[in-house]
Amino acid sequence: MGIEGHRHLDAETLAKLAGLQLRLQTVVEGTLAGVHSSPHHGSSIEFAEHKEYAPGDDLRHLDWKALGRLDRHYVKRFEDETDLRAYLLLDCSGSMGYGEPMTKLEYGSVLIAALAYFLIRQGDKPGLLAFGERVERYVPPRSRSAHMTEVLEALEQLGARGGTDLARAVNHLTEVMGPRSLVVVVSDLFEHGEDALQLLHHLRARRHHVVVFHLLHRDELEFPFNRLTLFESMEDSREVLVDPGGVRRAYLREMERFLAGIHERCQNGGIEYYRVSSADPLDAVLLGFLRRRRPRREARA
Amino acid sequence: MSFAAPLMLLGVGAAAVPLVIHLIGRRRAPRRRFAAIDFVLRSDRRLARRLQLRQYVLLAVRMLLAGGIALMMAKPFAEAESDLPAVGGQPQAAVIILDDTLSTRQRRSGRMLFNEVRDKARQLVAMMGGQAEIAVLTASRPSGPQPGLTRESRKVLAAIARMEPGQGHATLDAALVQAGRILSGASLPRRQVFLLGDAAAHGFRTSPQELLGKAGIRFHMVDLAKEGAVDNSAVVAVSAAPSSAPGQRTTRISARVCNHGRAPAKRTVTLSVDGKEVARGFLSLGPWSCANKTFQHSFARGGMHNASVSIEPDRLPEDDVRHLRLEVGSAIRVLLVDGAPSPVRHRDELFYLETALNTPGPGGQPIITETVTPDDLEQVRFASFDVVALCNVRAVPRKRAEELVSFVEKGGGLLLSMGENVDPERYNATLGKLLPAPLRGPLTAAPPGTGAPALRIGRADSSHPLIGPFWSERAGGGLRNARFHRVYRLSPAARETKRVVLWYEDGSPALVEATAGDGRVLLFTSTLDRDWNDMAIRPGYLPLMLQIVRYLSRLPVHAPRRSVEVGTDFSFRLPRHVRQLRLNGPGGMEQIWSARDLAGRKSVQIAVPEPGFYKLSVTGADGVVQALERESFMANVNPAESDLRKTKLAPAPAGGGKNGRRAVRRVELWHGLGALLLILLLAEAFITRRG
Repeated sequence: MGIEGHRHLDAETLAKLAGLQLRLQTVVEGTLAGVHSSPHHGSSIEFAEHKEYAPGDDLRHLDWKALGRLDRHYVKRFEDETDLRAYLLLDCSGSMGYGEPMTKLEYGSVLIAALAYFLIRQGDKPGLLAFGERVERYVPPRSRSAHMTEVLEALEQLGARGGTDLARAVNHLTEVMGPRSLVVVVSDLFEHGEDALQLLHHLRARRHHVVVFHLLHRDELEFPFNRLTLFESMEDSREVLVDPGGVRRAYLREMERFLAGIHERCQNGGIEYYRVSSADPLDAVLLGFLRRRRPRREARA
Repeated sequence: MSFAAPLMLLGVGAAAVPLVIHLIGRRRAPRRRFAAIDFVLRSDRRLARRLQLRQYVLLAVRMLLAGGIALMMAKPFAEAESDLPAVGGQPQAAVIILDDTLSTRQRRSGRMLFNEVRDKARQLVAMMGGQAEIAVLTASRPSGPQPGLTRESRKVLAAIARMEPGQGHATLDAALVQAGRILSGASLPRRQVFLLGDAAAHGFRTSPQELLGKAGIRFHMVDLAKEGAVDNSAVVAVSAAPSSAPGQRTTRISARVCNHGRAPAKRTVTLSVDGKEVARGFLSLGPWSCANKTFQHSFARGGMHNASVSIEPDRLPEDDVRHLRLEVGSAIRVLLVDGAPSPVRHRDELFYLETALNTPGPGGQPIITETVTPDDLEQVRFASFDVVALCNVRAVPRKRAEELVSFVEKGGGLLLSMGENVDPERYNATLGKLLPAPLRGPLTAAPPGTGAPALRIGRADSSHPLIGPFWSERAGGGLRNARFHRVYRLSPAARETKRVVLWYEDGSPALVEATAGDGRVLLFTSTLDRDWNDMAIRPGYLPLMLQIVRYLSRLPVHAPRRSVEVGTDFSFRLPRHVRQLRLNGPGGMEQIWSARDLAGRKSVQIAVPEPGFYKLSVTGADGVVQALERESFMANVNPAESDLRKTKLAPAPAGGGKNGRRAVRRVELWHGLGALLLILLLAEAFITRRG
C-alpha cells in the first residue's frame, strides 16, 4: 500500500480502543505500514559497508580513499544513528483534559508513546517528562526494551489538572539532559509565556533538536458553539457567559493570531513545528514527522 | 396624555415578558469547560461592552415592542391648546382669508410664514367639520378663482394647497369686503371670517369690525407671527441723477435704507450694475429710522443699464434689494454752423463756443462737435445730430429750413445765436415755426464813444433746469458782469410755448426757449463770441454752453425708468405690426405672446409677480427680432410691506383673544406610536440578524 493509499487511523477509532498499550500497538502498526510503503531509505549517519558504484548512486557518498587505494568505485552505506537521547515533554495541565471522546492528553499520550516506541526500536533513548504547573513525572531516557513499559506506565498514570508552566519543565530538563538531544514537546501551549518559547530557543541554540507538536482540539480551532453558554476554565475558576455567535469572529481572529505567533516564533528559532488537531489521524501525524526527519538525517550524513 | 381605551393599558405588563425570558434563558445557559477560555475572554473583553450593549438594546427594544403594542391599542391622544380660535363643530359659514402679501414671506426659524398660514388654514378647515360652509380667499386677489362657500372640505383644502405666497402689497380691506359679500349669501346664521397672517399694520386701512360688524359677521384675527420681534431692514427707494464727480457719465445712485426694528442696525449696502458688484458701503441705522447711501458710478458706455442696491438678507429677504433701470446718455452730437468764419482763429464766430463744448465737463455725456459753414448745409443730414447750432448765420434756405423744423419736431435741439450776418426777415419767414418770437432787428445798447453803459443780465428764471445748477442771485454764475453792447430785439408777439430764461437789465429777453413737437429751441439774442458782448470770457460762459447743449439734446441723461410694483400689472403699448412679443423676467421667467394673442390688441397687460428686471422684445412683421431696451422695465416690491409692526385695528392676536376662547386640539398619538413600533420591529430584526 502506498502512502496515498494508506488508510489512517482516525481519532474516534483510536478512542474506542481501551488502554494505551492497545492504542499504541494500533498506531505503531498503522505507522509502520505507512513507513514500509515509503520510498525513503537509509536514515543512518554511521558508516555500515561499501557498495560498488552503480549508475544512479549519489556521488557525494563515493569513497575517494578506496578509489585511490583500489582504483575501484565504491560508495559508502550508513547505519542508523544510535545512542540519541530524546526527551518527550507532555503537557498534562487542565486544558489538556479537553475533548471528547478522546482528550488532548490521551491523544498526546499515544503520540508520545508511539514516538518512544519508534525511538527505542531504532536504538535511541527516549525519556518522558510530564509537566503541568510543575514537573509531574520524569522518566530518564534509556534504550532497553523494558523502558517502553516504564514509559507507558507513567503515561497511564497522568491526569489533566492545574495550570501549565513549560518554562519550569524546560529548566528542569536543561539540568538533566545531555548534549545534542532531541526534545519533543506535546502541548496546547495555552498560557505559555514568552519565557517558555525563549527557553526552547536556547535549547535549539545549544544544538538540541527541538520539535513542538502543537496539539489543539477542533472546538478550540473552530469554536463551533451556538447557544448562550457559560464557559468555565479548565485550569482555574474563571468563567464567562458568552453568546458564541457574537464572539466567534473575534475568537477566531485571536486564535489565528496566537497560532501564527507560535508558528512564526518556532520557525524563527529553528524549532520544528507541527500543528495537530486531536481529530487528526495519529499515524498520519507520525508519518508526517518521520518523513520530515529522514531527509534531514540523510543530509546530516 | 389620555387614552381612548385605557383598559388595554393592562397589556403594558407584557413588556416584562422579554425580560423574564432573558433571565430564564440566562439561568439555563449550558456550562462548558473549555480549554481556550483565554481566547474567549480576550474576544469577549473586546466585544463584551458592545455585545452587552447590543443585548440590552435588544432587550429594551423587545420590551418596548411588547409594551408599545398594548399602549398603541389603548389609543393614546394628547390635547393641545391650539393657536386657532375655538370654532366648534356646529353648522356655520366661514370665510378664511390667507394673507399672501409680501410680509408673509418673512422667515421664522428658516420657514416661511405663509407655509404656517397655509397649515393653520388646513387645521381650521378640519376643526370646522363637515357641517360648515367654507370659502377661502387670498388677500392679494380676493376675487381670484377660489371656490365660493362649499361644504366639500376637500375642495377647500385643494384650493388652500394651490395658494402660493405672493410678493405684492395689498390692504386687507378688499378681502374683507369680498368675505362680507360671500357671507351675505350664506344660509347659515353663524357667520365668521378668519384672517390668517402676520397682522402687520400696513395691511389694515379700515377696521375689520367696521367692514364686517354691521352685517353681524364675527371677525377672528389669527396672528401667526406671534413673537414681538419684528425687526426688518429694507431698501425702500433707489434713485439716480447725474453727478458732478469727475469722469464720464458719472451717475449718483442713492439708496434709502430703513430699519424697521427697535434695535440699531448696521447694514452693508452693495451696488451692482449690470449684474456685477461695483461698490459697497456701510450704514448705521438707529431704531425705526432710515438713512441714505449714495454711490458715484461712472458708466463705461451709454445706453440702458440695470442697477441694484442690496443689503444683507434678513428675515424678509425680498425687500433687501431694489432695482433700477436707467438710461445713460451716449455722446451728444452737435452740428455747429459757423455764420462768420475767420482765418484768424479767435475772430471766428465759433471760437469760444467750440472751445467750451470741447472742454470735458464734470459728469454728463461727452459732446462731439462738427462745424460747417452755411454753404455746406446742403450736404448735411440733420438727423445725424442731436443739436444744431446756427451762429450768426444769415439765413437757412427754405428747403433746409423745412428739414430743420422736422428735425426739431422729432426731438432735435436748435440753438440760434444772433450777429451782424443774421437776416431777421428771412429767419421769420423760414424758421418762424421754431422761433420763440419773431426777430425785429439788432439794437446797439452802448454805441462806441458815447459812454453809455452796456447792457447786463438782469434776472434769470432760476427754476429753469438750464441755469438752476449754477445760477446764484448775487453773481449769476459769473454772468452778471458780462456786458452786452449790441443785442437783438424780439417782436412782442410771442408764442405760447415761449419761456424766457434770461433777461437783460432793461427787461428785454436774452435767452428764450420754445418747444416744437418733441424738440426744443433756444434763442440767444446776442452773439456767442465777443463781437457784441464779453460773455465769452466770463466764468459762467462754459457751464451755460454745456448746459444749453445738454438741455437741447434729445437724449435722456441718467433718466431712471419707472419702477413697476410687484403684484400689479404692467400695461405695455404694442408697437405696430408685431408678430410676437417676448418677456424675459427674473429667475428665467419667459412669457410669449403670439400674433394670435396680440391680434386686435393695442396693449398687453403684463403680470409682474416678483422683483427684478423684465426685458421685452418683439418680432416684427419682417421676422426681425428687436429688443425693446427703453420699454423694458424693473419691478420692485412695495416698501410698505417691509414694516412688520402689528396693527392696532385688529382684535387681539392668536386664538381669538377677546373674541373667543382658544380651541383645544386633540392630537392622536397612536399613529406615531405605531410608526415607532414598526421602526422598533425593523431594528429588532436588524440587531438579531447581525447578532
